[in-house]
Amino acid sequence: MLAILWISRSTVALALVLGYFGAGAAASMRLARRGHALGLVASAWIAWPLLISVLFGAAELRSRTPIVGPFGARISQGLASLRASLAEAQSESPLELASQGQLASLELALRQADDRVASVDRLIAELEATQPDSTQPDASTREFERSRQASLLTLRSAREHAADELEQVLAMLLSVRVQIGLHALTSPATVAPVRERLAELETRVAALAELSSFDAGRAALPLEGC
Amino acid sequence: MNSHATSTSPASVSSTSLLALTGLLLRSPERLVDDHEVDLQARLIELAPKLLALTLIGGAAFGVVVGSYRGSIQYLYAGLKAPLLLLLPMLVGLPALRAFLAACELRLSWTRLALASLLAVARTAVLAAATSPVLWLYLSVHPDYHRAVLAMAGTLIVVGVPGLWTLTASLPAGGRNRPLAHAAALAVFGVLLAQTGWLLRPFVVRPRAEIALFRPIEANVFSSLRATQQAASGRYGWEARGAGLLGRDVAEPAELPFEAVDPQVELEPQQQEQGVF
Amino acid sequence: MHGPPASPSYPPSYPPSYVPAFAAPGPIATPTDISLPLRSSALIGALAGLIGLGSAAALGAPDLTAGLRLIPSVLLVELGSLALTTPALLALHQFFGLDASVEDLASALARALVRGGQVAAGLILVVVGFALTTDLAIPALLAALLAVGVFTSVVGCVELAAVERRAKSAARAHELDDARFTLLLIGWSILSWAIALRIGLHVARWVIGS
Repeated sequence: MLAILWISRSTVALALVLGYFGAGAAASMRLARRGHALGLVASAWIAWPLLISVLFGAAELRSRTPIVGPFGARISQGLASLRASLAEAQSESPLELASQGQLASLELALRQADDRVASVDRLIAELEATQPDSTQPDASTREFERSRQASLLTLRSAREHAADELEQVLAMLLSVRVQIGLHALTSPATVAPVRERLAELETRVAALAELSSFDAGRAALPLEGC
Repeated sequence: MNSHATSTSPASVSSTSLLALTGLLLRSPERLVDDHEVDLQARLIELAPKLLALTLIGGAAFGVVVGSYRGSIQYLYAGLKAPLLLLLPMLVGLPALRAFLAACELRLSWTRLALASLLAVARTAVLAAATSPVLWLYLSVHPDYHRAVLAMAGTLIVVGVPGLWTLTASLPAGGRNRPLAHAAALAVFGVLLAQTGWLLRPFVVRPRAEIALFRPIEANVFSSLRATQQAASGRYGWEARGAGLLGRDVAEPAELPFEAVDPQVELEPQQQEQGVF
Repeated sequence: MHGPPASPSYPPSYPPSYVPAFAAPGPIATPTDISLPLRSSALIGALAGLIGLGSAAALGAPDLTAGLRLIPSVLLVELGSLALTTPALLALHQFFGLDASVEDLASALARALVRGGQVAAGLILVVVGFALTTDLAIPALLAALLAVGVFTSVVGCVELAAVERRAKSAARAHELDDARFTLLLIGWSILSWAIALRIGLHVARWVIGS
């Protein structure tokens, strides 16, 4: 028995279907240009409305290779403990100690600082691995070696400074948890100290970004002549 | 330690196979959106293709089984349309769900909602595929057409409930009067699923009826259900007219007298197909 | 101390970006923030949603005139109901000597209108689907209007209770035991539904053209 392929006689229906898949094709092209995987690009043909946030979201989420720095595990552990403490306190008191937005900003800043330390570590490792050609020790080679050593010195100094700051911020997370514990014992009267500590933590974390960018700027100078 | 525990850490999710993801989907899908440490958008990017693949595979398997009632090319047609039956209601109903939840003071990002809905649909599709052998067994004994349709609808309802549960469980806590939003969403998705099934018909085709990929856009699922109920009590003669902006230019079928018809007289296949699905 | 690695070595595989989902709200939803001013864009969006719902149903209208009249129909019912009941609510509220100010009450009702408009916007696609493929555009519109009404009423009651609670003294911040206020809310709800139904009948006659 022959199967009859029934096609809608309404051109409007056809236009709607073509319009949907046309938008899907446009979405696929946009995702492909952004460097997404083939699976996601193909998925956009069918389910592009679900991927609107990916289509119009920040492109840098995929454009760079994420790096877990030396403080990654401690940041995760510290924030997890802080969230647990806040959740416990929240269950006993109607007042909100910290919003999710604050915690998210805190985590973002810490991760970015950790990322910067890791980037500097990589740069230091690359510079250390770069050895001048010792068979022909001419003036340019000696100049290059001097610059390399100066850059390494600056980078190491900046790296240690940033790492120290990050260590202190992580230590502050612990003190905030202590304040939260006190709040749980003494109820609403200690909300203000907890919020103050969190605000102080936010300020300190915000300073991490300024400090790191300043140090990164200074580290670039000795290599400018190469 | 539970040997079946599956990590939902970013590294494990990105490298997980489809089979492993299926296991996670069936056990505790809400864990895939309940991880504070992971960027939800990155997770959506990782999982969307896999979840869609599971939806297509599971839906197609279910469709093929439903198509087995008629056989021939209906295997292919039903297999192609069944995933759409699961996806279309979700695509159309998601803005409404988001609006209901916002009215109940639960604002959530489109990313989270998209991920939750993909999980729900994929889970429904996988469960539908899992129940396919049972459905095939029933359809293989060639039950009455209406019973076959009911079996298909009943299966979809049974597997749809865990899917809807997944959707609500994947949403964040909080908000006020959330049961109101859930009840409204259930009503919207239920109506959309029923109407989408009508729109994409036929799925279950009588053994001697002509096979078509789609029927004309006419009537609606509610009038057809009413007609089926009347047919069950011996009152035949329902006329399905072209409906809606897209269906009104379809030529109307020949009108049948709306009176009791001798059940000994067999109706033409096209007249029989005016029933549900 | 965390020193730099001795040789170039990076983690063998990278997890997805750890940038947290700060764009998404956390698991605990914030309560009604009645101190935040209502943005005009939210109000305009709500009105657009109400008009959009009517326009969606207009796609399934039997003729052009009815279709054009359907476009503002939802807006007329929703705004008409709120406009006619708000003065009564405000007057009685002040007459009973309750605590919230008139401005706070008005902004609470405006937030309810915004939520209703958002629900209307969310249902546009559903009504479009029915208008394009069935003759159930009008029943779908009525069902959507019912949903809009329910959510507007519920949100209105919640917002009004919130402003009233805030207006009370701090010692009684968690109490709302004023029977007059409860009766006022119930009366306002019933009146607004009755007026909405009445306006709806008038609008329906106008759309049909009788």
